[in-house]
Amino acid sequence: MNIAIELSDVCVDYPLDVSDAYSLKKALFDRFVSNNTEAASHYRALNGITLQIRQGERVGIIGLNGAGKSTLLRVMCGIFEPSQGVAKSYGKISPLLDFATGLELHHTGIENIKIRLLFLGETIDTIEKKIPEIAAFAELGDFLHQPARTYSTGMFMRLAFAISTSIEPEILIADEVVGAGDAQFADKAKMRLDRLLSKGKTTVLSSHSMELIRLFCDRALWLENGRIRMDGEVEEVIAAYESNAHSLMQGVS
Amino acid sequence: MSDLLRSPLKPLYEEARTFVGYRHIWVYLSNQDLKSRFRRSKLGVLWLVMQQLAFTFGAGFIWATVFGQDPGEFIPFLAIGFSLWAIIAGSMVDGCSTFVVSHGYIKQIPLPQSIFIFRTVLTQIYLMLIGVATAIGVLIAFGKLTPTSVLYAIPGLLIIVGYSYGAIGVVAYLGLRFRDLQHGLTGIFNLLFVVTPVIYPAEILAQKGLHFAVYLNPFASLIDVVRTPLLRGTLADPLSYSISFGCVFLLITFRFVFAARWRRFVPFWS
Repeated sequence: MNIAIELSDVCVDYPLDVSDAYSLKKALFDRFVSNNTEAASHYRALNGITLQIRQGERVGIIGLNGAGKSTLLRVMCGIFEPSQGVAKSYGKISPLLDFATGLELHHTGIENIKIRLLFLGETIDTIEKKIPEIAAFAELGDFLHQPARTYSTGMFMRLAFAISTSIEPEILIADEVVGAGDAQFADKAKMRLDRLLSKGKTTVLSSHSMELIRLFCDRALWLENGRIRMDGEVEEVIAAYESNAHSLMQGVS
Repeated sequence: MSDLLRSPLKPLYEEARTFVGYRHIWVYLSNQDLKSRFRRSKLGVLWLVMQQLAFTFGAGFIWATVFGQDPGEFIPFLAIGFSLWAIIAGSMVDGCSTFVVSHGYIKQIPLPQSIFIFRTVLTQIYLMLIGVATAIGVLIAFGKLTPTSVLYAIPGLLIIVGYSYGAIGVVAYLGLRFRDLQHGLTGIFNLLFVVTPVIYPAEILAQKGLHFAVYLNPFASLIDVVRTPLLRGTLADPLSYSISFGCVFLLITFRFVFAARWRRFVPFWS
């Protein structure tokens, strides 16, 4: 069986309070003053994650906010290097993370399409072919040749969404994808997203929507405080996750 | 080949692969940088040429008198020095924000960090080429350009490109970690502009017994390896080539040391 993504004993530490801990002043003073009363300088976002994802698998990642879902996806993409352990991937990875950031406000719609797709690993030729389709989907009309700063919020989101979902992924890694725009557009967006999620040979997807996970995944991973709490068949994991959430709710009230 | 890949040359090999494999991306980004700098300005890049010409002629006539130089000699001299100083200082100062301005990409898309370094270097090279072309125009206007001078300046220009790459590679990491660096360097390079023989000939320092101020300052050598060939039509002093080459070698070495140590932290710090 071919492996697509392999993590062994991966830990990720976030350096804390960058601006203070790493100022030049502090670095210089620390040379002379050696009081090691430093508070915790790292936050461990992932702790000892070991897992294999085979080619063709569709893995859904669930867990509360702050459980480490986004961090895990970024490690799989290769954006974060693990502080300990090894992360390997075999195949071309297409990330679908925070798609709204990274659009350049003073670039035109066309320029943003080109630059974004270049970054996602497309070639100039395939990009040219995709531009009409993306433009039509985003419903930009003549605004395609205007700088993005002149766009309404809806246009901006539609363009970002259309670009990010126009890729042909080998391994798709998607973080909390939601539709964009008004109700009419939301339907279009959902169809497009459905198509994309079923296109990827291998898919890893994080979501708070159990419905989405049930629909697209054949394996689920429950993250809690940076560790894998449960890994297995979708219905089992969701059932355990929900009953846990339920008992937590009862504990509160 | 496999030995080569395990050796300390491996980062160099990776760097070359990134350079070629991602050339569309960093060339495109750099072109966009230049475009957006002059977006919606009618004269665009011509502003750079005009600013440089205004400075060269304005300051040239005044300082020629102050330093007791012949304006016909001094103005071409100043034109070249000024255009080279722009890339020498610009690489260090603008290089600090290499990763800072790219944070949107760095956190969302897995790409080799070198792409952003190449992008900043290319932008600096564009600016240098505009500056040097303007300076060469001034030389032609003053009848100072000989056919061989541009040819002899090529090794020096390549050294400056190497310097720009090394300097930007170093301050990209340092400037990301220490956000004060860019402000500090701006001040330091304002001072260095006066200390370095940019606006006055190095000989003036030498005559006053301050040789060391020239030889201890690698920026003086970096300017010399391009300016002397352009003005005199000969190669520069071998010592200048040695000093500037050593400076480039050190910067590039540190560029790889910093990359190895801090690469992992870039997405967190940016």
